[in-house]
Amino acid sequence: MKKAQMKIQQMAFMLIAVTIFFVLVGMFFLTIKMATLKKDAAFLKEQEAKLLLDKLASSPEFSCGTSFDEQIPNCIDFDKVMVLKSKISNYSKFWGVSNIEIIRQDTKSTESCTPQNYPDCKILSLMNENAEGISVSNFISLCRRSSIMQDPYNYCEVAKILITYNEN
Amino acid sequence: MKTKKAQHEMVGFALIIIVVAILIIVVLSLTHNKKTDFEESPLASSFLQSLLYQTTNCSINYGSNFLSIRELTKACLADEDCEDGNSACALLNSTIDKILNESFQVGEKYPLKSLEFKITHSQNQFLYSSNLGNQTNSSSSRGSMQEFENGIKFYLDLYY
Repeated sequence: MKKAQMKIQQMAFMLIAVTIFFVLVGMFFLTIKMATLKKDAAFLKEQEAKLLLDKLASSPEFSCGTSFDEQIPNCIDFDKVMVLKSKISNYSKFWGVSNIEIIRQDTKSTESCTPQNYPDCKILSLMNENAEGISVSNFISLCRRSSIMQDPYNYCEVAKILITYNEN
Repeated sequence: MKTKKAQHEMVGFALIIIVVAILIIVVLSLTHNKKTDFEESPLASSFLQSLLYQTTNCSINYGSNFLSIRELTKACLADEDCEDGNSACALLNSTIDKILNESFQVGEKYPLKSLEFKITHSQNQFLYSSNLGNQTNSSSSRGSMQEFENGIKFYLDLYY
């Protein structure tokens, strides 16, 4: 083999080694980036749920307003939503979602809410219970008027809202 | 002569490796510092906001005027008792324990590996503290803090 050929071969090996080295370094950074990407996706999903919830909770059909003495953030009026359930056919496309579910945390009941068992129930499903699509959830304050010995008082509890919607 | 040239090339290659290694260390240390920063969680923030207004079974001299968690915390700080004889602090602990267990699914088989909840007041003393799950299995954490009068602070950290 001539000296020039030898040099070319040497250079080729060197280039291959450097390329492999940089590919490995690139893969290393890509792995780190992918790990943060998953975290960012989870955070964006949480934020999306919060924004959707803010939109719903501030709409007059759900919002507590000042009915419970003070302005409660992310508050949903349980009494109002129960009435809304009976008229939900008028709102089928109003919020652009397939289903809105309110899940009480502080209850032993496992039943779905109906006018007969209200408020001793677990889940209030407003639209289609079997709706498919993307689901996001967040915490809300669920408030209602209650009474003890005919003495009325405001009762608020931690509840979860689950919103299901289609991307299209 | 040939050996000297080869030595030069090897030194060049070693230099490239050293420069890239330094770059990796710099980038890694930067990302590590980023991880230790506090990251706000919309989920934790919503939970804390809702929890503050949760009605409890405690009333103090007002019949059916039941206290919210926020008011119960203030009553606990003042070392008051509820009308039924329970101490405000005992009821605060049991109510928050119950709500945390009902609201979050924590464990190795769930995305949320553990959570830490605490209530402190101005002297940095704990009014309530609770840990669910095992933090050592988590890869990231996010949380939220709510502060209201008397320097009372509610913290919730979620470990994924």
